Amino acid sequence: MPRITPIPTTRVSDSFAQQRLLTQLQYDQTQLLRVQQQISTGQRISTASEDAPAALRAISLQRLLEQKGQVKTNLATNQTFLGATDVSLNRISALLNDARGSAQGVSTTVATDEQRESAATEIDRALQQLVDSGNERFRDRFLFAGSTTSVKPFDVVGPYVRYNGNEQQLQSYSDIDILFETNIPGSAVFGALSEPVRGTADLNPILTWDKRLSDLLGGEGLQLGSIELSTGANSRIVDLSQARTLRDVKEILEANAPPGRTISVGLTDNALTVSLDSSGGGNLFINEVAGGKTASQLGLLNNIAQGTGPLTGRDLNPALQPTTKLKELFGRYAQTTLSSTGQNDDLRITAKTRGADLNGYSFNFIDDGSVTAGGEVVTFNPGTNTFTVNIDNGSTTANQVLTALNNDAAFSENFSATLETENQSNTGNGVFGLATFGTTANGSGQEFDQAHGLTITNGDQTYTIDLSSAVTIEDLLNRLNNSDADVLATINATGNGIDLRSRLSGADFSIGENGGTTASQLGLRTFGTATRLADLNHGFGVHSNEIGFDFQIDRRDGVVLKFDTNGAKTIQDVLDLINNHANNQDPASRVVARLAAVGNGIELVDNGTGGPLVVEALNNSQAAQDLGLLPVGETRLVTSGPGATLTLTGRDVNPQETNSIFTAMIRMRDALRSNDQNGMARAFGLIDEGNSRVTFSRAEIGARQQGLDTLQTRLEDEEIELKDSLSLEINTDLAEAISNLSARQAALQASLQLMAQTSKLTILDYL
Amino acid sequence: MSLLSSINLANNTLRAQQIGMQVTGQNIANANTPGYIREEVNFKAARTQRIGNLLLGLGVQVDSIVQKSDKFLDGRLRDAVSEQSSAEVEEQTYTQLEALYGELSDTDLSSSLNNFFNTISEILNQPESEAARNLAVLKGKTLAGDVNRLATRVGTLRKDLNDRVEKGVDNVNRLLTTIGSLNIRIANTEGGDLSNSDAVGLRDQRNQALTELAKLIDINVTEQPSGAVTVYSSGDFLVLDNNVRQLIAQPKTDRGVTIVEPRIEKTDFAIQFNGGEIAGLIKSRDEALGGFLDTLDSFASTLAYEFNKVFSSGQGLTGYSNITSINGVNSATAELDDAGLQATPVNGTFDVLVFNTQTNETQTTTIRVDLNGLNGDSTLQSVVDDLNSVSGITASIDSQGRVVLASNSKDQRIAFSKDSSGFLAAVGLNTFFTGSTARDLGVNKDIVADPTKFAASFNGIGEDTQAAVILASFQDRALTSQDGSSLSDLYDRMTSTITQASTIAKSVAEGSRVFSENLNGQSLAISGVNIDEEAIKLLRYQRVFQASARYIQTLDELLSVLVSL
Repeated sequence: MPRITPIPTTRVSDSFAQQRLLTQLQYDQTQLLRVQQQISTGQRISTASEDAPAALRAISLQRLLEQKGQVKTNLATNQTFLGATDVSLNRISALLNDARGSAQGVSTTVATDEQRESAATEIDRALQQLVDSGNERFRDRFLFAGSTTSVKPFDVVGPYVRYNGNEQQLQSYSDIDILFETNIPGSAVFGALSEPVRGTADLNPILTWDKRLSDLLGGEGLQLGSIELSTGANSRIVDLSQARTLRDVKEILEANAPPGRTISVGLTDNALTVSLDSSGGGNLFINEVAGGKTASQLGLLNNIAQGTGPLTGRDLNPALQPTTKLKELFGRYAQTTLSSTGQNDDLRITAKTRGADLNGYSFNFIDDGSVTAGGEVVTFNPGTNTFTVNIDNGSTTANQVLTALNNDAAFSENFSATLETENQSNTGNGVFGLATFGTTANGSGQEFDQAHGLTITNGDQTYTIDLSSAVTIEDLLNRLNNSDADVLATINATGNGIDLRSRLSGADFSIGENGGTTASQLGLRTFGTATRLADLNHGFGVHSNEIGFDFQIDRRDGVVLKFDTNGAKTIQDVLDLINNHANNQDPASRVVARLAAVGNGIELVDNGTGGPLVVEALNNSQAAQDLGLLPVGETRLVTSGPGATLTLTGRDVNPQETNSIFTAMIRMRDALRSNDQNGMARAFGLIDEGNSRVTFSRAEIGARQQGLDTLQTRLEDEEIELKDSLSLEINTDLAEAISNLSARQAALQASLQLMAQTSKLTILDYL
Repeated sequence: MSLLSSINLANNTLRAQQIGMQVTGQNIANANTPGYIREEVNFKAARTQRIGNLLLGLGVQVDSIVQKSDKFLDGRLRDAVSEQSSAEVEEQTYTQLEALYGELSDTDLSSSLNNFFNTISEILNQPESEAARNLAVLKGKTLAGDVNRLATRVGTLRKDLNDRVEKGVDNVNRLLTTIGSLNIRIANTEGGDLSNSDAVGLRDQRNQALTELAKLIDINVTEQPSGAVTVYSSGDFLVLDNNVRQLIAQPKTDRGVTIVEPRIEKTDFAIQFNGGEIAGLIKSRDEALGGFLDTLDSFASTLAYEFNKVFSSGQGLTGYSNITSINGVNSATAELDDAGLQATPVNGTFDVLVFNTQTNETQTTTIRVDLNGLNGDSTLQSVVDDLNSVSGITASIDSQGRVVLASNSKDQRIAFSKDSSGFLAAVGLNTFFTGSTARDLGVNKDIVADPTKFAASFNGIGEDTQAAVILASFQDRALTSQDGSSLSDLYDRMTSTITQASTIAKSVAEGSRVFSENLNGQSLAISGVNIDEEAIKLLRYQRVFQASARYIQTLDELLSVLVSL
């Protein structure tokens, strides 16, 4: 419709009439052009403002279509990867079945050495083909390397196979905000990483001010809001939402004490403490604000009158992080701050070792007229655990006290003194106050044996891991991962310990001590007192006689001790059997059973005199051999020597292994060559297990491919729907447009005719 | 009373009708002259003459020739013209802006955005492929280029509008001078109240000038008894008799460019026009285009900073041997949230990773960015001091206030992770985008030079694609800083704002056109020439002329009779 302007009621001028006609003409021509454009371009609107609501819907649909277009590409690309993976898995499965078939035929006792050797050679070839399959590349991607797709996943290292990839899976979008896994790592298909040796010790790092809130509660993190600090009479709302570390929490709370009062925030090993200044009396209440959960999250919610505190919060359980310092593990160092009243004069006393033993050491200062500044004298009273420092009151500085303390032998044996720099830069030049005192506290746990390190045996090599210079968990992990032991050390999923895995297939793998307690403290020792006998020897356990003794130990003094391991369940039980034997209680002559100081195994130590130390199997029992006290195939072991102490170190009979296809093949090959029927039986089990894993992986890949097919079909349907919707919004309805074109043509024709006719009408023609 | 006096009476009649025909001729001649106001002759009976007891009329007298117009209607029409001009400029601006924005096409900004994020999805598909990362970088450059281009083009459009404001001010001055000058001539011609006739030609010119002026600015026009008009705009007079207040186009800075602001030269008063082309130009320049640029800047800034916040916590396939931050601070000792950074970091921490390519060892150090407002907040210097204490790194601040990090060994590489403070994004360490406005949005040259530094991993150099998982869907992720809106939401809001504003501008322009045409129709109904009407008038004058001539002839015959007696 053209613009409707009213016709003047009085008179009409020629200009007006002409203008009206021209406007009409222009309108008609514009509309005609618009319809022509709609028909020629197929688009109903050329700019969004022509039909804003439809255009905005169309823009949203266009974006969706563009995003779905990428999703289609994702699906198509990854279908090819999954397809290639499926083909590889098929080949791997066939190789395993062939190898199993070859071995099956010669696994009986009637097979000849030549037949077994032939089968072993075939398995060796299959092993190489499996490694090749594991290293298969498709479109420049190693299919089985996990997320490190440009790293060749498998290497043959001597008689073993090493996995260089990781356990991660790649992901891509199968729809907007929906992810799917696009590969399957070698660790899942081949079992190329060993089951983790899980650190059984909860390393439970202590809280420090620098801990990130996001690392607390086992890594779940804290999202803080506001709390109310109240004395009952006065209160203050404190917003903790900007806090990112515990130090922030401390600073914000202390800066927002209820009016006229002072708030102090402290730390225990695992919780925050909040207290009100005791001089003002009253009670400290901590409440939630507006239904929040912050006080509860911190465990500080308190609406009961309990005085000025300190209120102690919940266990905030910080998760292990790469940056967690080793000194934050295994407990806390006792310490105290000697706060003098002036400036630059505060000292911190810190114990050199963790533990509660160094709690309760007091520090007193007395003015001694005979002492001049710089010549301070420290004395220690071991009865009361008190250090007394004679100072030149008014002249002695904090630095001089610090020097005197650190130079004192009794002090420096267990403690060190430093300048307190918690809240200020402290030069230590301030005059030390006579009224200063302090008592060490908060020491807990035990000292971590960093000095000895641990040993890792993987295959035929034993590696000593030196942790003495490690400062953080990351250092510790680096030392382990970058040793040549081919292990993968990570922080465990719950963030409280270390997991260690072997990357090497076909090799026995164990973690032992290096003369200390490092491995045990980290919970990584593979042969410990709690190790179950049933798990020893790759699960074959310890074969004890049903009736009668299993082995005997002939002490150096000639006393014979006989043992029946029938009731023993763990290594500790075996050690107890020996150590608690009724005839083995004389400290001068007893033989002591313990875990090996270096590596793994049971160690027998005989401090007596006389003959050799002998271990001998009884009643054809294999128990001593299974416990590692006798070499394989031996029934008697004599240990003798010139020293005062004779030590018999047993074998490590709890080796771990990477439960992989490669291990299965290597074990089978070796068992065939050594005609080890037990070994062959176990290797068959491993091959079957590996085959199950491959079959499972194939099933998973197949399921994913099927899922992607379904998604692709759905995506195509969606695309049609979206295009249809988009078309409805912005495309030209040709029938309507052509009708409009006809109508516009007619209107234009009418306008032209009208113009021509009315222009001709004039009175002049009649004059 | 005599025959001769009767002849004289007829003579007056003839002259009066001739004048009538002259005016008719004038009207016919100007029937197509734009702005012409038709004229009309006002006749009145001539004075009477007392002859004895009789009062005899002396015929006809031409009282005046006046223009047929309604001054109130003219005023309203001028207002409507001002409004229409202003609205049409806005309509035109939005049409051009929409064309630049180009939504609904395949080359619009939203397609660029989608293409960019889609290529990050390709990194997920082929994490090992340098080409995929390079493509993402190139698409990032294309996106940044598209944003730059849009901002530049809108800036050019804005400059054009500004030039038109400047020219508009010149035109206003010319018209004001013309009106002032015509005021004097009209007053002199019409002689104040002495004449009933209008100085028609001059008034036509002035009227035309006023209409032209109304197209440029909104004016109030008051006619004085002298015939002169006083022209006001926004409460200030611009023309009083022949006193003219000229305008000047005063330069000022807005959004980083120089624009002009109309001011009254004598008083230096910044005059705010409410209608007319200049008002439309200024509104379009400052609100439509300026507002759009603000929104685009905000979008570009959000895109850059928020994307960088995620990106800077990620690691590429390779680390940095050395790296210099892109943004510098004004003062290295000022607290970081007051150090002059475009984006403000918040209280938090970030990790620095030093990776040894020989041993494959990574050393992680957490750096605190203390901005909790208590106990001395972090400065760039304090953060750099902390960085400098990281084993394997030398950190310093260069003369431009930028952070310079260098590894101490050729085997060490620097990377970053877990930045909860936004420090890395704010200073531009390990960031993808550079710049904070639509004009200067770009891609970090370090990443362009080495696309393997595209940070797709969160768990170490080349370790995984967890960062890319977040970045690929970043367009649709809720942003805390935007109250939960995503980049797509922001883009949609920007599109919706332009579209709605354009729709409104079109609607307002159409409304003002209708209104203006309506008033114009009313005005033309009074002032426009109707040829038929003029022909009828001509007939009327002709007939009276003929009758008067016959009357003279009759009197002449009578005189002849008398003479021949």
